[in-house]
Amino acid sequence: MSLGISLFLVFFFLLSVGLPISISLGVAAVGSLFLNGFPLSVLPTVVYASLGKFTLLAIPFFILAGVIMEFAGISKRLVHLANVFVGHIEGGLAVVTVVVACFFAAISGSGPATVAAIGTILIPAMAKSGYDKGFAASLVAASGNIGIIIPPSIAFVVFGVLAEVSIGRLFIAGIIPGILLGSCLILTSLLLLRKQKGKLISSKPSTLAEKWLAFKEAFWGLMTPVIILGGIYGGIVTPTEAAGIAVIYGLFVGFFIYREISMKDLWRLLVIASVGSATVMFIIAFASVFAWVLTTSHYATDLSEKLLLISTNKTVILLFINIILLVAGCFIDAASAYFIFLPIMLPVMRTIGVDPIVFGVFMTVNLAIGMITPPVGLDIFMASNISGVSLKEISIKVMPFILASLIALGLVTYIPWFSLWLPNLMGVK
Amino acid sequence: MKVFDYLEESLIAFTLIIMVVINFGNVLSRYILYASWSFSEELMVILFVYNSFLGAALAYRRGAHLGFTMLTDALHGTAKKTVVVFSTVLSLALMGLLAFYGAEMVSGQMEYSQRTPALGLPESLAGMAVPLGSLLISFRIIQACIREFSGPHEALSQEKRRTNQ
Repeated sequence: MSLGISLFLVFFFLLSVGLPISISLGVAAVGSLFLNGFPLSVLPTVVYASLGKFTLLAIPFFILAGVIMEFAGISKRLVHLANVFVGHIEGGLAVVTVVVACFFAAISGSGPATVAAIGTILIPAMAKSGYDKGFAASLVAASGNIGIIIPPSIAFVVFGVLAEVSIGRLFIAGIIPGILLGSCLILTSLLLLRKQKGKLISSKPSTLAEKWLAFKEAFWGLMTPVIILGGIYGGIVTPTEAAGIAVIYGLFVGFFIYREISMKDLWRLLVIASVGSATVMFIIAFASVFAWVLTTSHYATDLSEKLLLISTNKTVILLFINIILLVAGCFIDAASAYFIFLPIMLPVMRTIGVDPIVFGVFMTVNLAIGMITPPVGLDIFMASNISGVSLKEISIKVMPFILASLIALGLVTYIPWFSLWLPNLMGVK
Repeated sequence: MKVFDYLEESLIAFTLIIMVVINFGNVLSRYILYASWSFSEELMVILFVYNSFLGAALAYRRGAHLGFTMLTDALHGTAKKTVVVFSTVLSLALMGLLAFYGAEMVSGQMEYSQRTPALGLPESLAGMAVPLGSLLISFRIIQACIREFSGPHEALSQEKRRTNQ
């Protein structure tokens, strides 16, 4: 057995005995530095270099923006707006959930943040209208995935930094796949709800005046994606700067327009966002050491060559890569998956002629599915936390949505059009 | 102890808000005064590294680090204690190595009195985040281990759970 594979085995062993992902990656990597006779003095240098990347500042900024948007009452008003428009149709709240998730995804760059923002309002609302609470929590969890596919997206920032592709182009490439995933989720929930016809309470159709009022109230929230994406594609700011501007905008709306946050809240929100960002950054720090070992020791090249030996058929290789990522995604988070798999898979993609942008999109959709699969699924953890529905129940009820997401994954993997059409049309490099 | 925790949280909030302010200031200055701040990226990155280490330490206190606990949750008694000690020892070893070699890196930076390109700050001021942060995290790891041993800990409050995003 090659040392490269044993590096992965040690990592998964440590993970299985309950060590955090970050520490497991670090210990496996340091062990292998030692065995390969590399000086351990590279450890702090690699750690510092991985944390000290300006582009990655988008991570704390987008997380903070998401937390602020939620506490400032922006998400609440968006939910209301969607409800006024589609709340009266049968199964309307399920549709509202997905639509708001798509929209909130355009504000926040993280899955769990999207789940928290829309779930705290929509899960109780669905339960009150006669929906099964487990169904509601599962749908919210699955919809949260759209958060990292529709721009802005923390996952795309990490992929872009590692694969050295344009984050701006990746962002635009994610829009149609995100909407595609949303459509799959809507169809699935309407299918699931068919049996309950007549039992669900729908709200009365709203009047034009109510619609206008809801729009006016939500206007400031609706402007957020315009500011973020307009700033980036108008060439005014970089994606990282845009993330920081989103924070300022959220604070402006929260302090002066909706007046729902105070100075004291701000302190708490800063701490919440920092912890969220630091857990990701701590993983990135040690995942970088792991990736450093993989590339410097030629493990990565060996493993890439092994992957290419499996088949000469592009379709089969893509299927195989997706399966590896899906299995890994059940146990690890997206950030570490990028670090440990990109050095191996990116050269494979080059050999079989897959555009790195398409790879970035389908890898992200794939790893997003990992966020709703047990045992380690950030989105189902969050959905369970905020709804009080047990993790076990959500894990079962989320299955149809996993299936729906897999269909979207297949389409995005094998039909590059979904990812490339919009960026090519817009001429985004 | 309370004061120490408060100081930790304050530093975390402070580093992040300063990053936000500098970023905004830099964009404004570029579009209004047609002049970028040369120091902005450098300063933000240094604050970011400190924020990440401090946040990682606080994440231990709040049990927010991500991992796979289904197997260990099923264990009880001696088996559980063995696993907890095993992971604490490995975690401390890793952070210890990072602190040790981090300190070596910093002393190298001081020896050659390296300075940052834009601000001319001593490079060691930035590098210091690694050994200091690692020591702080080690301390929180030990605390988390003691908490684990002192029996079933109180359910995480809603506030703490919310930070797990």
